[in-house]
Amino acid sequence: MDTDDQFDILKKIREVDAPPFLLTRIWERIHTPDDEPVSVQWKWGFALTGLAVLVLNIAIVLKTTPGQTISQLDSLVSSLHLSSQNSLYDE
Amino acid sequence: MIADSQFETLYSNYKNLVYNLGLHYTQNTLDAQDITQEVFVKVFQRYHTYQPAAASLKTWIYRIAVNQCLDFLKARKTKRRFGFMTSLFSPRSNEPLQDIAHFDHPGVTAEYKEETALLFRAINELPVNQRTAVILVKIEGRSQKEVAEIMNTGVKAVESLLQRARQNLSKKLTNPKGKHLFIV
Repeated sequence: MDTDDQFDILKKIREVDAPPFLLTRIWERIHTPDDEPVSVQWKWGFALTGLAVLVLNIAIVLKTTPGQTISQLDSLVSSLHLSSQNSLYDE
Repeated sequence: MIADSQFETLYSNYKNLVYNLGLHYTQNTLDAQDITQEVFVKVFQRYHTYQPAAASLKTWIYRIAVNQCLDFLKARKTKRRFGFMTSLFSPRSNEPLQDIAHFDHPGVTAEYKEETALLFRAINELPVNQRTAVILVKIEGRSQKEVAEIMNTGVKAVESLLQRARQNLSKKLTNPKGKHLFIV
């Protein structure tokens, strides 16, 4: 059977009338705003959360500055009596 | 902005076109109603962007309708994919786990319902552009030139889409033994 024969059955589909109540629904939809505006409480909530995250990040960055890390490493090396040089033999 | 009376005239002229296109894409009356509603809301809101020199009003409405149908199907696919997760978070929800629409095309007579449903199942599996070309040319009866304008492409491209759709449908409707599953 040819594929065109298969398509022929599609030509037998009748046109249907749209239901009469649709226009009323459309007018209702048009006159109803899409989204409710975000409340002030939510806006403040988001702003404060964002600020808290920012402050936390800054605090973490300040606490772990490179200078401090090196000094901590130095103190660890000296407390364990480790050699901080690359030469293996005291030449 | 379009005047209310002008919009109502436009609606009465094109409501069946949009509704039937929605039916061809979804094969479900409720879905087609939702699509028609959204299309005309968009037509109302975007009428000021319509340029008569670029395309006819019918072509413009067709474009909005085709895009709305494709968006609707994409959203339904996503909803199905995440339906299980949603049901986990809201177990009391009355919505079915998978919103699988059954074949409910009022334009198809009972005599051909089974065959048409089978053919639509295969059409629904076609790539989006091929599906659109088949629906517009073979069901809506639009000329290839018109379809090219609606799809914003060339006539040759539409011809090629139809050719590939034919080949794909032929494969989909043939069982492994080489017999057509679809009998007219």
